[in-house]
Amino acid sequence: MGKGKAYEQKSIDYYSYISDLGNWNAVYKVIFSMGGLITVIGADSLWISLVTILFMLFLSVGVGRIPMKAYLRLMKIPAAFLLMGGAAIMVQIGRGHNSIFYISFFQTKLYITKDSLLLAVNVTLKALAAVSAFYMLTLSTPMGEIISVFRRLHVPALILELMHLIYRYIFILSETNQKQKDAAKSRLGYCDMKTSFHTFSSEMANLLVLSMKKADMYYDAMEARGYEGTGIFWEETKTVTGKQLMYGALYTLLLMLVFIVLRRNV
Amino acid sequence: MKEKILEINHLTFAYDRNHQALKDISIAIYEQEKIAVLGANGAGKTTFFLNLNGVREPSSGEIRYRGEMIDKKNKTKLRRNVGIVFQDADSQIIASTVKAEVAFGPLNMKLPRGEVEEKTMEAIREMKLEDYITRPPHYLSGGEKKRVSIADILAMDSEIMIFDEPTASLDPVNAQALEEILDKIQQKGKTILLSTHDVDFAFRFAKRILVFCDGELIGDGTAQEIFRDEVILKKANLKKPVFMELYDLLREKGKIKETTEYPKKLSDIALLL
Repeated sequence: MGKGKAYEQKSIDYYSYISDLGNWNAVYKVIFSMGGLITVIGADSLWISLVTILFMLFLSVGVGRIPMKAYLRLMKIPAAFLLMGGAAIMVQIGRGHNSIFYISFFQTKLYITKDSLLLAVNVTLKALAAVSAFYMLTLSTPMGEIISVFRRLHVPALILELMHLIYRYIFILSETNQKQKDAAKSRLGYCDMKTSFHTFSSEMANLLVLSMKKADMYYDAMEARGYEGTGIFWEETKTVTGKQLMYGALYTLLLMLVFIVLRRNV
Repeated sequence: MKEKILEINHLTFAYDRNHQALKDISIAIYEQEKIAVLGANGAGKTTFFLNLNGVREPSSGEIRYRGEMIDKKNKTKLRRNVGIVFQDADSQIIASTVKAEVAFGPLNMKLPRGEVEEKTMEAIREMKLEDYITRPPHYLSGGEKKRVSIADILAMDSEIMIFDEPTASLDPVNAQALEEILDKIQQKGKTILLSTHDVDFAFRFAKRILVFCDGELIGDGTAQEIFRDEVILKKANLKKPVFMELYDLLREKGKIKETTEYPKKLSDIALLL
């Protein structure tokens, strides 16, 4: 039971280490996904969104070799919110002129018009496209590399260092808490509501004390390896290859094609 | 005679005024030594190590590195030449991939990029971690993390390598592998200092043994000298190594040949029978 949960928890981070897009140049990937995002928002077109969703799926799953099942599972979370938002846009309340579908709702009607339907589909797909563009980046780029892109953007060193350390210690913290929880459970710490609250609060208090104590040790360990106030971390140099550029060109080409087709029809 | 690397004179260290964690320690450490540090929990072993590395500054007394007095200005010299592998690998590992982690030390030494890469990869190969270089530390097992934490220090190429209870929390296979690694490192010309509660391991591994008790250094000698000294053993609550007791027992019964050197392995005993 616990294992399945832990798996869910680390999965999004986990895929960035197994993705075949992992050896792509990180800056290029950031530009790629940002470009996709801006195009989708700027173009405000259903077809552009659709093309982007499919192309990013192709990149993450087809080229990056992330299992399709996992990709869809990860997509489900934002998709659930977006679909609900879309539904809210789609359904209107009132007398229901030009509705293509309606149901009575107490004194009034809930109805959908062609315009509201189109708007809802457009907005939902646009948001999904934006999410999938960023998923392409997050599902293929480990935290360390994302931080190195920030460094190139001249984000202050202190913030970068904090990002590094926080990323590392999140896992230690959750691991420690998991152990605490298991130990508490084995001593009936979660047997009923009242006890659970009590145990949880003790756990948190203990975690804080533990963190303070361990922070000292971590600092010693860093100093012992020559840390002198600025954390320098290794960054792999990954060059942009022709193959990577080809995918970018392919995406641009597809977008241009859609633009041209749309222009003709208008 | 091997050359002296570190010389510690009358070192005292206190975390607070009422309690001294280390009391008047004087000792010298030479090239290519194999030293085991014994003593109960809280006897001052870890504090002693941190002082040797310059992370803690002695309250009084002096540390000399190759004859040169260490003070605030040149304590980086200590950190470069004395490396510590901490007991808990998780408290040492900070980077988000194995390669970045191992490269942390060399990068802090401000080496050129090419050299950092070279030293990092060499340490990674030495610890057989090639398959893990892009792996984040939180997806590694305990034994793998330990190997990463050793590679960390190997990459810094320090003259003295300190291991704080290296075999604690390792399974027998990994502990055995670690012993082989330690031997290999020492043969490459490094001095190894390790703390342990396993007297058999200490007896097998170390040429020289230091015994700490309540912040004092109560014993400093060869393994044989220390384990024969009943006073020290009693004071530090140490047991005799099994092979030593076995040899004494067999000798008492007249069933083994006399020797000046205690047997350290089963095969040593077999030779004497």
